[in-house]
Amino acid sequence: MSKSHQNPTLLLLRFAVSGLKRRRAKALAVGGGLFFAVALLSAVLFLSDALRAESQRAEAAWPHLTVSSLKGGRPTATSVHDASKLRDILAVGSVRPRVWGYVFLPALQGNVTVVGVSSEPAPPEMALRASLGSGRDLVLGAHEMVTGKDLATFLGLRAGDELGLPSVSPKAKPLKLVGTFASNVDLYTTDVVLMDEADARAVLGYADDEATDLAVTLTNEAESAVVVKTVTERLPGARVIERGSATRAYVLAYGRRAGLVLAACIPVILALLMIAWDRLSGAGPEERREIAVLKAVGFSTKDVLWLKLAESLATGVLATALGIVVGYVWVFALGAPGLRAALVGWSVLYPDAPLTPAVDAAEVLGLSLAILGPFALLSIVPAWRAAIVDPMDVLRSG
Amino acid sequence: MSKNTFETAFISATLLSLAALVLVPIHANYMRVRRRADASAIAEIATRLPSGDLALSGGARWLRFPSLEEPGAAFADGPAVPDPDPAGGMMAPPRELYNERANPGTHAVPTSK
Repeated sequence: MSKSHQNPTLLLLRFAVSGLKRRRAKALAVGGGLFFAVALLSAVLFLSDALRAESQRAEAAWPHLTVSSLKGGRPTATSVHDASKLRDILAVGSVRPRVWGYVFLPALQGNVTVVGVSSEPAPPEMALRASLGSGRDLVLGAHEMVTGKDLATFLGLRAGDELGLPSVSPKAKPLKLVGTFASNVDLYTTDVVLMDEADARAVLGYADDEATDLAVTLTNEAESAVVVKTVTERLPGARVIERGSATRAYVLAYGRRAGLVLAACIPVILALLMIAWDRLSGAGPEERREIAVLKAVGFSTKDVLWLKLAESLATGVLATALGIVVGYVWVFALGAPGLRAALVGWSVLYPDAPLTPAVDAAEVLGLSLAILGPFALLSIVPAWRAAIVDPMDVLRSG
Repeated sequence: MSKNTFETAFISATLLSLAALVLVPIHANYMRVRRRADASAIAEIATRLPSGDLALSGGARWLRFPSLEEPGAAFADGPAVPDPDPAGGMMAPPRELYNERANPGTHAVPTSK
């Protein structure tokens, strides 16, 4: 006999694995059920975490407050003159009227996002460089545009081509494509058409004194609540969205969607619980007989419990580890087919950019232990119930 | 399958799975570090966009900038309240069909993964 065979832990593990072989159908059913449930759960968690993290990546660039006007409870154009009513509020750094909106493209059967670039706060350091994949930034007043890479591909546009966006205004000029966004910002720009503010105003049909909303930056973000109150006093009916609530929208939205997807998977989870209940409710006749034989040849109750725990852990570790790895590969290598549309949403123009994983070692460890702990403990109960019975009674009855 | 072959296969599969599991956070960290290199590009473009919302549901205008639109969108009464179809729906519509209709005879449209 080799040395390793004399090691009690190794012996126990070998005996546990051979026990799994003897009851391979049951091990396969339990391990398979656990594997599928873990893969699904981890994929949903990984995907929603990645989306939340991605949505927070641009958080710092958001204005502290976004002020828009409401008419009849619906958003409407804001007067650019409203900006001057807010500039003297204490803690307000700047107020910038913005012109942006959507244009439905029949060729696309979907909306593109038109964003106007103002000539006022455009210092040279604000020019697009890193976010451009090809071409150059806009020259304001030259009727040019920069679009998402996929949008340009879809419309068959190349640098230098001109495009007339549908507009009710005769002032809208055809725009020349001078650049496309890089793929690393695809998640933000895939449907964006960036143009001079005057062109955006013409395309979207805004008058010269109208804007979509006002972007307010604060010198002290802690004063946000006070400034919001002052803004609503000065602009009755205005809707003010704080940066905090905007980013919170994402945390809640993806958390809720992940919950909905998991709720829809309840049948799978119930199946797993039924298997677990089967294990909890008692060992099978063969297993009881095996335990009785072990006790008859000298195994103590403690030894039997360790053995059953080892068997359970062997199945659980393999199924859990494999489930988490498959969940990770499903989301980040394969792009979460069958899951992404349910959790993320869809559109005709859809960014191909892969998501960046937000998972860390603590999450993997926590997930593994949260699954493996209860699973292993469940196996102890029936083994203990079988182990405390007199082995002779079991052998005689069998 | 002999007893030893089963044992070897089982233990090998377990060890390989555990090794792959250890690689998950390492790979995730590597991807995050790589993504950090895009921070300047994201910040640059985010200052020009209405908000930092992701362009994941551009087809529906009230979902393109959920943080700004949702409070005034149809069926939505406050920030982050449940949004209507299509985002969050369990079954996605046939995107390929829309793409073909929009651009007959070609398949140049990027499709979702």
